[in-house]
Amino acid sequence: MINKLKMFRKILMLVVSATIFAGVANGQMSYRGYYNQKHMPEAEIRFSHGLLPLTYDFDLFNWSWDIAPPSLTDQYYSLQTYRGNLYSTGALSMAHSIKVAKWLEMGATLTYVGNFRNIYSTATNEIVDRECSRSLFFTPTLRFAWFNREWVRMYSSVGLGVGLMIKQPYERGGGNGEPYLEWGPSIQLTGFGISVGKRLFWFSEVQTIGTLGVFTMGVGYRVVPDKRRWQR
Amino acid sequence: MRAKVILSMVLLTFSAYSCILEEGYKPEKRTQAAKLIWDATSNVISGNLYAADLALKLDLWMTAPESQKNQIEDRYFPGSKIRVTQGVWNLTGTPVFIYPDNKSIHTVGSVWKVMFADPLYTYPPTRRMHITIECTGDLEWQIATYDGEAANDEFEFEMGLSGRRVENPANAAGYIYTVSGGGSYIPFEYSFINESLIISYEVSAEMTFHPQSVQSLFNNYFYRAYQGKCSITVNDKKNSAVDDKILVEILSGSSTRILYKLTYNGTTENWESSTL
Repeated sequence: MINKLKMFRKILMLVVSATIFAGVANGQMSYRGYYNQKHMPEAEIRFSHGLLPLTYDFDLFNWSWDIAPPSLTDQYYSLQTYRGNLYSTGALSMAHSIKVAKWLEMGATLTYVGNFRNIYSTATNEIVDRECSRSLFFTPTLRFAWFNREWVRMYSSVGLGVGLMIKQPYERGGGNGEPYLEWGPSIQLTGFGISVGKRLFWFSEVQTIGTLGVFTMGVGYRVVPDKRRWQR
Repeated sequence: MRAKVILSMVLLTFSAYSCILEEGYKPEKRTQAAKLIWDATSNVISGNLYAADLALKLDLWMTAPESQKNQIEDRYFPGSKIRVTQGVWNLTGTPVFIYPDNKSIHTVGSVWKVMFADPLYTYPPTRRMHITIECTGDLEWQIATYDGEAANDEFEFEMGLSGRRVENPANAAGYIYTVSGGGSYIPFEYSFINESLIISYEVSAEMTFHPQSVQSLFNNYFYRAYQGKCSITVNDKKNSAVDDKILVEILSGSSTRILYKLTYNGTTENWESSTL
């Protein structure tokens, strides 16, 4: 528990540092002649949906080396119910970023992931309960745009932040078990991202792994389009 | 036009992939939990019948003419030898000890005892136990079993049984048994420390158990029910709300398959077991 708290503090410090760094970096931007033209740095908001996000109930994290066979009592209760399909909302994300250089955007992403499944009675096939987990991630992100055109941009990105998961498991004998909370890092690496559009744009990210999903798609809106930069 | 573009973007985004992470699993039968309990109960009865059978076979050997002793030992105790130390008989290589009475086990009033000094981790696993076998009539006995040293002390077995000799031996079993009575137990499996169920059973219509061949470390047979009825109640010492009822009716039994009906909390299904 103490180790978890220490880890959480470290991650929190990293997130705060990254956020401050984003502000500082933005402060380093050359605004010469910028305000005279009433140009603000380009900013955008994105709404996206990610497939297969990594959350803290990922099976790999629950691996157990205990290979003792289950007791007959456990077998009896587990046969009284069965688990239905495990549904996921996927990673529902909202992001905001600002362009601090032609090739660099800095921002943060807020992500929600909900997983749930119904528990059915073996005898009656009726739903007797539901187990679910809800995760929330805050991920400061650096986006490196390596192809810039008026309509198309291509980029890679990296994000590091914190997340929490509230899990309510089903326990034998009916009724939900005690909900518990887990903290951990939120990491997202994107190999290839593409956005198509000007003010309103569509985007997709592949070759990704992390808490935002392995494949992400969404729409975005550039709040302050820096048309001057499109022409460079 | 712009609205269509926006709508298309949103639809493309949120309908591109499925959201099922893992398929659920629906069991084929609704009385699987009852089958689990019946299998365990059947194994408890089988363990006691196996112990009684050892005593009856030892009696056969002790009362046999000297010329037939080797033949009886070879047939009924394959893989073991029977040895006596201070009146206590032991099957070599096993934790089974038999305490004969001065009289034959077929003499009314005689009382034999069998002790499993350690659990037999065989199929089915049999707990450490003390068994008393009292002859009550011609080929009729009363069995009472307890386990004073068990990790979980809930174990009782009291049954009346009548036996008849196995005529065509496919294994080392001596008798076929018809039983009546009942008992209760906390399951004894490999994770018995974590068990909390208390299972009570009562044979409501006499059940006949036949020996079934199995290749195992200590035995080469165990007993399975070919006919009869048994009522079972499942309680949990950690949850007083658990009070499940199971009725087992054996419809037909043979050496190749057993048909039976399980009624579990009002749901009835037929089951079929083939030989191992």
